[in-house]
Amino acid sequence: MRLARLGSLHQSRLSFMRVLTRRMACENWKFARITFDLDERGTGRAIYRVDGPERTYSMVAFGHDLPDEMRSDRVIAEAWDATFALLDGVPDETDVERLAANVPLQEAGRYSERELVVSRANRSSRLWEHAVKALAAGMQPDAEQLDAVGYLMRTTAVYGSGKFGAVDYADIRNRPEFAAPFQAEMLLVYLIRAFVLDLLEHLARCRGGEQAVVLDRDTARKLGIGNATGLGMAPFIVNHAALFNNWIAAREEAIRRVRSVPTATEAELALFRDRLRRSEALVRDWRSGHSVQRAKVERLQLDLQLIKARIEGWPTDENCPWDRLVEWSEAALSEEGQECLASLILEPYGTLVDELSEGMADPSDGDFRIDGSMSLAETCGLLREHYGWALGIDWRMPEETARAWYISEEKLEPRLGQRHEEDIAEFEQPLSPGRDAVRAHADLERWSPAESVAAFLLRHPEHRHAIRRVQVCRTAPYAEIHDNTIGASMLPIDMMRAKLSFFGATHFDPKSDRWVRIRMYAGAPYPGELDLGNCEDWVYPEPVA
Amino acid sequence: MSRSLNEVESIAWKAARGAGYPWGIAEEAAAAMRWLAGRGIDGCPALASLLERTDGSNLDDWSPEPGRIWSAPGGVLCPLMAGAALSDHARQLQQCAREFGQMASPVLFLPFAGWAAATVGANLQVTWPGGSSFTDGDGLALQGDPGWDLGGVMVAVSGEMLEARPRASRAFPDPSAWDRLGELARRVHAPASEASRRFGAGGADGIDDD
Repeated sequence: MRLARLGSLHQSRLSFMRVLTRRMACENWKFARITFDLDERGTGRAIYRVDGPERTYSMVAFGHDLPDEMRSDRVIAEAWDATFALLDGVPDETDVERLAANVPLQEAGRYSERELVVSRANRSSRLWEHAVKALAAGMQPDAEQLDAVGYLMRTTAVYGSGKFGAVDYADIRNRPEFAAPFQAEMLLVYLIRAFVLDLLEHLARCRGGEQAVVLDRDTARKLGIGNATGLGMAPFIVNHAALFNNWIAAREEAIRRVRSVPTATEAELALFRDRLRRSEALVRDWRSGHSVQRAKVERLQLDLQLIKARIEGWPTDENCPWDRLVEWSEAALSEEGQECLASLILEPYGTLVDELSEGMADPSDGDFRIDGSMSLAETCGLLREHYGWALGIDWRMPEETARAWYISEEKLEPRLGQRHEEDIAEFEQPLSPGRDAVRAHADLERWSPAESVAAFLLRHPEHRHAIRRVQVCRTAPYAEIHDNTIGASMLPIDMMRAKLSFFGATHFDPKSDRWVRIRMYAGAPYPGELDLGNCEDWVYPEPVA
Repeated sequence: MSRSLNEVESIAWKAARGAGYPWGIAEEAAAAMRWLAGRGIDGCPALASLLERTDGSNLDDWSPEPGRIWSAPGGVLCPLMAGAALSDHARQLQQCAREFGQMASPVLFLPFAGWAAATVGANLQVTWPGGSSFTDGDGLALQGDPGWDLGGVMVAVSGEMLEARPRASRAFPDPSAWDRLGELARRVHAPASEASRRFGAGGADGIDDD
């Protein structure tokens, strides 16, 4: 599991957005706009209600009139165009007032166990005014401009799991709708997208009156919610090793199951061909100003053609056709292409793979008890098995330890510093599992293999963190990224891409090596449009004739 | 003010690190505080006092030395170091009880007894002069207040398990203890420097151009 491969992962049937839309359609969730009290500047509040089979949730949204100069995607911003909370149940007037006093403050507000998720979004300054103006004048906005950006608003943070006092995930994980990871967060983002469309059309109506028109439904469908993701997200997959293992393990198991399918039916092949064809349209629409990503996208376009050629006239009675296709891809395609194919082959096999999403959460919530009775022989064996790549690195070379992850006092956000040029080493976060394992290994080698971990850690508490990670690997083989996370050439965007792909994001557009813009729910049916026929394939656009 | 257990965990992790503990022990502190909060016990005053006492000292002085009684070379055990040792050596409890010497903020030791109980698959009783606790690995029953320095702590397998405290999903930390932990937690944050700004540490300093 190298960084370059993680940085090439694609959404799939197991992505958290798709898990949610599938569930909402299967269970026939109902959506309703309860309140929409916003003025002509977009200031005010709105409440959207969602009824699942057992429970009701509500999004409470606050619109603000943000001057252009205050609009920033930085997580440290203090004002936004709109702020949101996802609430358990239906809010009464007291709840709304409480939220009105806190949600607009985001991190500076306080939340209760009634709140599941808090988020905020900014308008795309490029598009928003253009779209409002066009609709107000009775015209549709310019399709080319909409396609180029892909969203009208972007979120700059989505906070769940007990942040700022909101409910802990442990308290809601037993609800079937939240069994898969990040479902509450994905639900809020889904509702935000609906709010954004409503707000746009509302402002156009306020401005244009009778003349105003609504946004063409197909155009609206293509629009997602943008997200700007910075360094804050990158350490997540290192800090939540067991959880991340479960994501990768589910995906690997899904791929394994499909590769074991002995023969593909005509219907399965037809579905695969359909998704492949529509992937071309998806990738054509994937623009990036980042030279590395642009080259990867160009190569992916070629890879999709290669796959198409490969399966032309494919006999369906071939033994394990998907296995052969994946095997072929390992030499024929780029990593971006291989991972795209791995996601695509899952498409026809929902009955085989969808259930795996249930196992993607971490029931222990990151708590892992060290097995002190383990022998050092076994510990060293595990360490060599899972950190062999790190033992091969010469950590004395300055470029191998060029970076250090730390949290800045100024921003309270993860940052990446230059270890050899700044005084930051003493503030370093434990985000270099490879180096730390090698340090532990050096001391382990001085001990008798027959000794226990308990005895070793009594003398070496400084290795407790590393030994815990080594032991996690015993049952979680994908817990660790097999790459140097503090080296000079490390790209944090690879770590973000890995996480965001599991969310179900598309159109990764890195703005530097450490922040990336994405689209969420681009192509998805809006509440009220969602049904069993469209809850699954919305990611893949129909090519324009 | 009510806090989520995630917040309790997070401040403990940072504060323990800020007070000079290795990351692995800071992780134990975080898990221990969450464990206590989940059983309706506010560990913040005990943790703040502990971290202020051990701050700046050599942790070896506070760590248990194996022996008939596991005690600290400096005279007083740190419950996190002692607790980690108990949890790591849990299986030995099947053979014999374990006695610890004088211990600071011993309430922080109780979660480790809980984890040890889960490992050995038996109830554990922790006794100290004037009180005791029982745990079956999940629940915690408390008799007496382990809130001060204790002369000696005995951990032993027990056939007994009293009625466990009710579980809690929110924490109500003592505000002044919370602030003291916050002070220690801040130490893990690096002050912004000219260099960090120059090197663009955060990355997304770009202008919101679209």
